[in-house]
Amino acid sequence: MAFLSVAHLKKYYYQHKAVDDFSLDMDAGHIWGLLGPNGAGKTTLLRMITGILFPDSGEIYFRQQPFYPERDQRYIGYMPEERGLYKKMSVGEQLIYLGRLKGLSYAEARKRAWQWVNKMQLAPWWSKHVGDLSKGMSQKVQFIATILHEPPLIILDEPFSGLDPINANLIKDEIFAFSQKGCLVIFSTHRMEQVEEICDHIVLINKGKKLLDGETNQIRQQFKQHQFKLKTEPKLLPATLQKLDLESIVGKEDHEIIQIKPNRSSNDILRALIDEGYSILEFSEVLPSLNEIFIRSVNNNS
Amino acid sequence: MRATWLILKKEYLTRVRKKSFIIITIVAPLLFMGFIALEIFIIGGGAQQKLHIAVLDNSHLLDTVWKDREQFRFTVLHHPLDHDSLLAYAAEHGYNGLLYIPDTLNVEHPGGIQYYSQKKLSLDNYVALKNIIEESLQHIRFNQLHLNVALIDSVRKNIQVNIDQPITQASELQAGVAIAISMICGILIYFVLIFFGVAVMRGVMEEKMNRIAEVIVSSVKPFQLMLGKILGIATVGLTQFFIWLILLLILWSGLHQLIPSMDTASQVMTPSTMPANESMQLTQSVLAELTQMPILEIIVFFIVYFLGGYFLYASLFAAVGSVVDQEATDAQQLTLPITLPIIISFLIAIQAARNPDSPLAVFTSIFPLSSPLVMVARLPYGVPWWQLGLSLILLIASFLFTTWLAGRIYRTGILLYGKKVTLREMMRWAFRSR
Repeated sequence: MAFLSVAHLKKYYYQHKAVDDFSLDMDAGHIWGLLGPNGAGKTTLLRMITGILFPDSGEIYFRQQPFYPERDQRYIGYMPEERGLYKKMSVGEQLIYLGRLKGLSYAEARKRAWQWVNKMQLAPWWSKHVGDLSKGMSQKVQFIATILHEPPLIILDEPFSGLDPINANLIKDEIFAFSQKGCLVIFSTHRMEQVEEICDHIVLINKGKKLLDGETNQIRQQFKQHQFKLKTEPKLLPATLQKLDLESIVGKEDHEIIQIKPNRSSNDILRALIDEGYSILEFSEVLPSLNEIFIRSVNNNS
Repeated sequence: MRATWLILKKEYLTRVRKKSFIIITIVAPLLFMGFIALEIFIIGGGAQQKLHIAVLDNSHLLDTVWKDREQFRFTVLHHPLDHDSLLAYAAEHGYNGLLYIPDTLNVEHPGGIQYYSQKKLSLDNYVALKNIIEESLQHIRFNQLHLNVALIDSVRKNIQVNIDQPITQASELQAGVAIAISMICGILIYFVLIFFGVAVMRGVMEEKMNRIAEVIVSSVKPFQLMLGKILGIATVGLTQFFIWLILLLILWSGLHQLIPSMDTASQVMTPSTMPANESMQLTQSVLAELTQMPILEIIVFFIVYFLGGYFLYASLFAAVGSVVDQEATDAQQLTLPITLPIIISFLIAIQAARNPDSPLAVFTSIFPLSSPLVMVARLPYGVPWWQLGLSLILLIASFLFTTWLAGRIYRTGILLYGKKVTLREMMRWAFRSR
């Protein structure tokens, strides 16, 4: 059984299906990207997985047993999209308090908080009020609060918003480190380039329903449209395109992206091009970006 | 349990460490005393003003009566006036009123006396004025019957009967002390309910606005968060009481030092007491009465009712705080249904301080929404045990119910943003199946 498994999860609000029959299995050691347009039901789904909301129906299995919030919440670290900290509490006190709420002892919470604050270059602010911190710094504090108890399941909603590239990298590295240690990381965002960079698995949700899920690379393969990046010497002539029955999608100064009919193999094209007298500088398959996949799936769905 | 305890501790410590806590602990008693003084002034102050009354005595029967009195100053008019213009005359010449005595007045038939004024006489003044006239008419009658007025008056003055009712009825002083304690207790409960209730509401609102609520409820149950906050603030309140109690004890022992004869003060009338000045004597006897009061009982039940009433109302305040979205305007509208019963109970409690056994006072001291205020006001007079018991059972049952109800509203409200919530919706959240 998967580390985290949700089956037929449903949450209906007054006249609105926030999450509608959602099922998914996720294994430890992976980083999952949860993608979906605004109002797709991402937050509701995450709130159910974190035990904040009760599903109307459906089951959640966590660590090989039915999910029971009171027992299991300490194994989850959740960073909601809207950040929240006590403004009039110092960084250190706040981290210790939030860590203890997750079941750490005072001494343990203090030790870990101090380590993390140093690691995240926040040590000078240990006894400063959170309200006096910059947005980026309080973001880092929030991240520490999320993972202080070293949970095997880490859920991050837009973790990089408001962070400069240096601090974003700092947190990105920690996310990778946690997944290498065998944690499951779920990562909800709109920023596709981050997903491509970080997530090895993705799940797409729209209107409360799952559209697709799986390994990022496989999905991109699945959605590939037989497009190739081609760089030749001399530059490809329109006559050649016509002759070989190719379509140019993007024509740039130094390269083209061409569309090949599904019934023809890339080798045939390559051979034909060589026969035409072009020297091939680059010939590579173009996989669709997650952005395209996202837009295509959502549009098809609605 | 552990989570609730952690939250309680955090709430308590952050609040007690604030400067405002220390300030309020010191300033509140002063303000409170000011409020009491104002209250006494308003209740007792009405009769302070001397009324200036013009007298038109057409009978000339009572010419000797119109000397200055405690409440009145009289000016006798010697010129005739048109009967219809009396009211206007009094107003024009700056009199509070004009007393008209017809020429037909005689001792057998003392009718036709009229008082013209913009404002009606207060009951006190009416009785006083009536007594003045009646007494003088009596004197005239005595004279007519050739009785010795001086003798009669001296006989009257020498026989002063006080009927003591040591068991059933309090002495005047005792009653005064009881009223004072009732009022103080009632006012205090009123303030702490509103003050700490609003503190709970503000705390909840702050957590919601800060968005920390969602972080916390991913660690603990919403109910634990609410309960921890309510209990934490209750502990702050108890700490404050405790400090005030200590201050009171210091004040008490200070008075002890100041008035060494206090122990004998209960026998003020014995000649052994030094003829100290009157106010000293009064202080002594007030203190003596205080020692007669069931002080310990009052303090214990005061705290019990404070906690009961606080839990009852604070959870409702928490529920309101959880649904408020856009700052104060929205909050005020929703707090009204909670503050209204507190205010009404307060008004009843003030009445109950003077009339502790009226049916209204008895009923409202048992009814849970008002019992924390009204029962506390009745305490100094002694309350039958069955009433106390019933009232406490109902209060506990009610606060368990409101806490449950509020918890259900709270857990939905705290995660809801950008939506105006109506009372009806709150009720739907509370009573739906899950």
